Amino acid sequence: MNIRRRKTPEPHIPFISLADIAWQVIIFFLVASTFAMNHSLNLDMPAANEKQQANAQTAKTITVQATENQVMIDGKPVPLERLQARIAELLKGKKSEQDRAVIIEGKQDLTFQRDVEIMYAIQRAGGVLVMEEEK
Amino acid sequence: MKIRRKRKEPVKETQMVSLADIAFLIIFFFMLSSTFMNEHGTMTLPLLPKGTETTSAFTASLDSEGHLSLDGQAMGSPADLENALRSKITGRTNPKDCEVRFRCDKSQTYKVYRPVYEAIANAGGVIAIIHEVK
Repeated sequence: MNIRRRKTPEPHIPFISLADIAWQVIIFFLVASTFAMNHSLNLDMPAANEKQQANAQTAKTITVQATENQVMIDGKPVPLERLQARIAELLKGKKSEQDRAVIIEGKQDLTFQRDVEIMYAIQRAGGVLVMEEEK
Repeated sequence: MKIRRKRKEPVKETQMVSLADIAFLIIFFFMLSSTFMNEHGTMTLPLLPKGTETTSAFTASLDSEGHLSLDGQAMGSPADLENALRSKITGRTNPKDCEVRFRCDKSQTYKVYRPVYEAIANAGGVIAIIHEVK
């Protein structure tokens, strides 16, 4: 009698679903990641030199005094929404960086949010931000 | 007459096995090339209209509790930050290479963040204030 042995199938691990799992992991990472915030307001802020401080004293350099509730240009209150236009007016005709310097004098209660809004307005108006020396 | 039976054509199939290798390669690439952010406290960035973009390699952070750090390493004081930054920036002449990303909580007050400005400026850095877009 002819007895044929059945061939036993070769054992193998099914790998095909691994690709689906891997792609799902990639998509999860892509969707769940928050990419680093890169938007910036750049400030190359030199400390006010002696000439600028002397200029400020003789009212040639614009000085912005800022508290949390009020912004003043050379002692006169200006609403934050008008700050850019007011500084642009004052800088009209001034060409050199030295003349376009704007000093910010912040008060202790000034928050970072408000400070960056003021600096943004000054930069948009064409001013060159200068750091006021600590007294 | 002999009629030849048509040979059974092999079923056409796309080889998908290598797709798993490609996918895992991509995962490893992302994992190795990512730098995870290291923040100690809570941080809400200020809001401003869209500005420039920075590609700076250094990040100074000041969270809502006043913890200061440079590239995830805690700094005891602005003076420590200045020293650490100076050693990193020394020798760089291009202003773009001297940019320092400054991440600061929007509620932080002037008396706290002002010394950090000075530390970055004194170390020769150009401050790039990181903000969210309005």
